[in-house]
Amino acid sequence: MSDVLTADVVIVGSGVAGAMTGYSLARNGVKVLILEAGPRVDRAKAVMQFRSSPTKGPNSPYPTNPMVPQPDDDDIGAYYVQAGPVPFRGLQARVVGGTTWHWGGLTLRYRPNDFVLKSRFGVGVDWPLGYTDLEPWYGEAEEEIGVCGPSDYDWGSPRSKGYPMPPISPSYLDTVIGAACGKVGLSMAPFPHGRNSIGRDSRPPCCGNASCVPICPIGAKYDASVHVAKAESAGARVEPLAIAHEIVVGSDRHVTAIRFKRPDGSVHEARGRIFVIAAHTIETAKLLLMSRPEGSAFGVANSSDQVGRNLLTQLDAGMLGLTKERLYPYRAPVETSGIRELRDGDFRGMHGASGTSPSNEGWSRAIGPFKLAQKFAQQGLRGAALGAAISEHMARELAIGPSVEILPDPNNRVTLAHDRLDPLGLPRPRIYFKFGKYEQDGAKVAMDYVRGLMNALGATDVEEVGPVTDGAVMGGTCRMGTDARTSVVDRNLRTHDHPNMYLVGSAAFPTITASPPTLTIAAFALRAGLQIRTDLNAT
Amino acid sequence: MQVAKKFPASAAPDGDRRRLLHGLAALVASGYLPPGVAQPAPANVSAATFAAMSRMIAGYAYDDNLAVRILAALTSAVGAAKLAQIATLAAVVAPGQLGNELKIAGVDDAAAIVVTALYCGVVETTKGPVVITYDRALAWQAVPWTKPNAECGGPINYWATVPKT
Repeated sequence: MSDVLTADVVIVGSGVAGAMTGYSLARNGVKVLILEAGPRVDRAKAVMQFRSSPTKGPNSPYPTNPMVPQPDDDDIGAYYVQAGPVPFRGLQARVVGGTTWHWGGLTLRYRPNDFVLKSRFGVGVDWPLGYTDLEPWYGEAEEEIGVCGPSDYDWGSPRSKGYPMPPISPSYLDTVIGAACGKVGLSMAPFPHGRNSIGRDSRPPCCGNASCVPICPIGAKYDASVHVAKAESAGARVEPLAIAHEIVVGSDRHVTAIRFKRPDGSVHEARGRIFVIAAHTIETAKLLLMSRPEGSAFGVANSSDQVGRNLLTQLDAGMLGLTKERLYPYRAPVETSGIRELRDGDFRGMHGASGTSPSNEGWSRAIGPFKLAQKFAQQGLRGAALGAAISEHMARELAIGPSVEILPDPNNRVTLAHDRLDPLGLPRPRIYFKFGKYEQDGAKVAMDYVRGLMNALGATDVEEVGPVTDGAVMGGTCRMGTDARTSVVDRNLRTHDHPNMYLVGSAAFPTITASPPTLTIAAFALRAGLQIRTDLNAT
Repeated sequence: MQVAKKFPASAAPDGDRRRLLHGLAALVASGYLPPGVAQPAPANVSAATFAAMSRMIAGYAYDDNLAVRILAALTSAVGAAKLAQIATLAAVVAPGQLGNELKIAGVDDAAAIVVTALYCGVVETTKGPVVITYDRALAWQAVPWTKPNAECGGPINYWATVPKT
């Protein structure tokens, strides 16, 4: 028998976008229902699963349900149907709390110029709102997430108030790299982080478990399970293993319900007054495209034929080297400092901005000594000599490289693979992706600097990696804009086609930048929450 | 140099070699003899012999519980005969000559598998990798200046300075 669930606001997705929106509504008395395709996560069990996983990849700790497939750490073709020409590597976690479970925790704001690429640099598109519109919401988001950061450097994003917590210290590795940066015309500064530097909000301070990706075992690093719990405490209902597959639209263009499946294949319905799709870049587009109300040839909210298009990520390149001096990586959050240069400037008219930061994860993250043990054992090292070689190698490992912004391209897109159904009979996402000269030139410029840095550090065994599409950052597919003919949602994230449906998350981003998107997603979610409350009050 | 102090040239204490030889005596009594001698079906390597062998070829050893589990997985993956052969050589050959003798005996590849498994806490089998342990894998003992991932490294900001270890 089918369930019919009702709420004022029905939200699809429980990641940072859905959870933050849901909490902002529930705490103001709105009846909220959150549908999440994946299961709940028990942190302690997830840590155990991470330890027993042979791969230790970003999704390795998390419970999976065979009826809710997700990208595989080691097989990017396992869920996405890769149409190429470049493999798309964006990882998403289909669990309660979403992909923030395995984000690195960097909470940079976007810069004012990030919102005006077209008018300022003549490339890409402008956003339909600017930095000053979003600035107060950045502050709100930093309070909600719990951001620690430096008081003396704003990373190019002017601030109206300070960070909620004092900064964490740069790693020892940062100080060595920072000293070398001066020799090649670069400089470094500590990052703001969505992690506790002091006890706050019933969460402990970070103790350097070195496993922000794939899981913080103590919850010092923020993940959206924080706001899922807060939303539930405020009265929201969360339904895990509820796989939304159809948006039902009435004759007046208003959305009336979301249909969802359970893993047993049964179909149920969630009805409400306002609907929020916050299922991240790929799943949001997929849900809109799967829904085909009468009279709609291209899916819901898609009169512009823009749904699924302009898929965004970053272009990653990297360099590995063994420095002359010991750095002692493998001891801190993923990235504690970054290079200030190349993140913004007039050059963006010619090539992409890039964010470059040394990794504290060495060459091989959670399996560093294991990879070396295998390598050196095969070379014949045994006993004490083997241990010494591993220690010496690991202590000198440097991995550093740029993440470059990619311009929107309507041919980089998500479509439905009706010939490759998932176990529930739903089409998997087919992804077309390529990158061009703008981003490749951005990577080249940054890598020239990185090469100089490696030389300044006296590095040996230098190896260049990439460029490849980034595994963590995703956006686009439902871009926001002022023109309903060329965009899917307006500046408030309301769909142009359906007055009571919002798309919250980086899916709505018209461009991606050199900075991670999570804080900006949270800021938009809180802002959308206010707009939705205004809508509810108006009706 | 710090590393040299930490890993002296001869890492196997005399006691370990004695225990290994003692264990091997049992193997000989059971019918297993060193390479080059016609051998009946070998007996399994005992946990004590395995631990002593581990100290000789890897520099470290597991506690009894984990040793039993990894020994069982390795016996299945490498075979009892090769495991016993490696243990024999580890017991009787000087550490500096061990690598060469393992090659001569034709068990160098098997020894690499054993050493890798000991360091990683993972045994590769025909059915895929079997994870015996992660956070207690021997490799972490080689890098005492860090901790296994998902284990608290120390008080906040400990990472800002050179490790004391």
